Amino acid sequence: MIAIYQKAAFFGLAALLGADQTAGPQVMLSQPVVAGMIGGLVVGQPILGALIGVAAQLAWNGAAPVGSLPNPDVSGGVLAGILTTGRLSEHVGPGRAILAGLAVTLLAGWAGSAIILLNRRLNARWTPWVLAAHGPARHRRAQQATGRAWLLTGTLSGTWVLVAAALGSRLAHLLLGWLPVSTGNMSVWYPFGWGLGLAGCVLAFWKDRARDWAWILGGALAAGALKVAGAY
Amino acid sequence: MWERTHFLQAVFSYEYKQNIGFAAVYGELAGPESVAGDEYFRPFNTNPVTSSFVIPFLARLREQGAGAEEFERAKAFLSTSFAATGDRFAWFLLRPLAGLMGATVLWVLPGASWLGVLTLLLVYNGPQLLLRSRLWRAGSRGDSPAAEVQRISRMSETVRRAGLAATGFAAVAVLAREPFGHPEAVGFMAVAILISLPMLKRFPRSGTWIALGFLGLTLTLNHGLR
Repeated sequence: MIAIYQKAAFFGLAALLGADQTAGPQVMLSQPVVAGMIGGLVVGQPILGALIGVAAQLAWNGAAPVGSLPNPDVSGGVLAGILTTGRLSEHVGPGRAILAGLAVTLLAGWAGSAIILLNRRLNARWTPWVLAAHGPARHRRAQQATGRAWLLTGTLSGTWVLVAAALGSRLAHLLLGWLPVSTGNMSVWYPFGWGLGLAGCVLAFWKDRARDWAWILGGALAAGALKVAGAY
Repeated sequence: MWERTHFLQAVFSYEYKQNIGFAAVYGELAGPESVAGDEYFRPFNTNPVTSSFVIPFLARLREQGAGAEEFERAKAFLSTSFAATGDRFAWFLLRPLAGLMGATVLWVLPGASWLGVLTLLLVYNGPQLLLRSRLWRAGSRGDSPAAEVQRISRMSETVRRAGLAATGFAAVAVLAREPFGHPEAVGFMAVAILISLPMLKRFPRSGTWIALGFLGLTLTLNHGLR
């Protein structure tokens, strides 16, 4: 059960992280790993939050918040997924709750790109408003527009997370009723998820040079050496 | 003053891009009366990190008596070249590196999950904050834009190599630390890489759908394995 104060905290958190994602300060608080940990703490389940966060990071590590490109709402998706997981875990067990939460995360993140698009369309209205002023007043309006647009971005993000989580948990509850209990084992998804994440990284960093193999191999050897030394 | 560039994109729109963010920071630097003309509100688009060079450089140019045409030309040229260089550095290389390292640390050291969060934030923000402040000083001095672009390109190459090493590290560390509780994990990971590589190459924004596909596969395998 998610208490009303937790929902309020989630709204504030989603607003802050959503604004960080597209409006500023863009210091990557919105990245799934960060959003997952903070969101998990708010619902009192940091481990579940971390698991959802890592999964979403692997799926979306290649999605860049570049201005004009449509990108998934990564922080909104993760927070909606965590709220769903938190709501369901008491009733269906943690494994199935994370499974449903991850599905909601991915779908809410994808659908959230429409909210980002809407936000950018609304932002186009600020320029005529600023230009309606004259002289130095334009600068003041530009600063006011920046602050108000930031707040609008946050409000849209916060609202979207609560709506997506409400829809997601209802849908997940229905779907979980159809699925056998044996399906609630996420240990099969994570090797797939890591494969997806690593493939995205190879595409991001690879430049088709023979020397690139040396860097990959060097990293792999370092991981092996640290394992042998008992560092993890 | 350079920290104001963090909100350059707050009023981003498809029609005008970052024009209001530009006017807000430029006016703060050169004085409110400096952005009184309509020309300062024409579409402007660059990378928020590297805008830290473009804005003070343009303010200095104006201060040195550059005409409107020269100013517009410099604005268009600098915003374009620093957009391409900055996007590659900050969005396409540094951010995925930070994400990968954060996820790896969190997975490999589950008892200290906050280290993963700290790693992600430090790996991204350390270099980008240093670069922003450095670029602001360079732009204010009127240093050569070409030299700065080259410097950022060299930094990108370093980040790219670090990304490759982190990818190799993650592949081994994740399997060595946590074999996922079943021996098929290595095979699943290899299959996922083989499926994801061509898909992501052909459709770079298909991560959501590939992950959902793997979720469906997980349900099927879980049911079948029992």
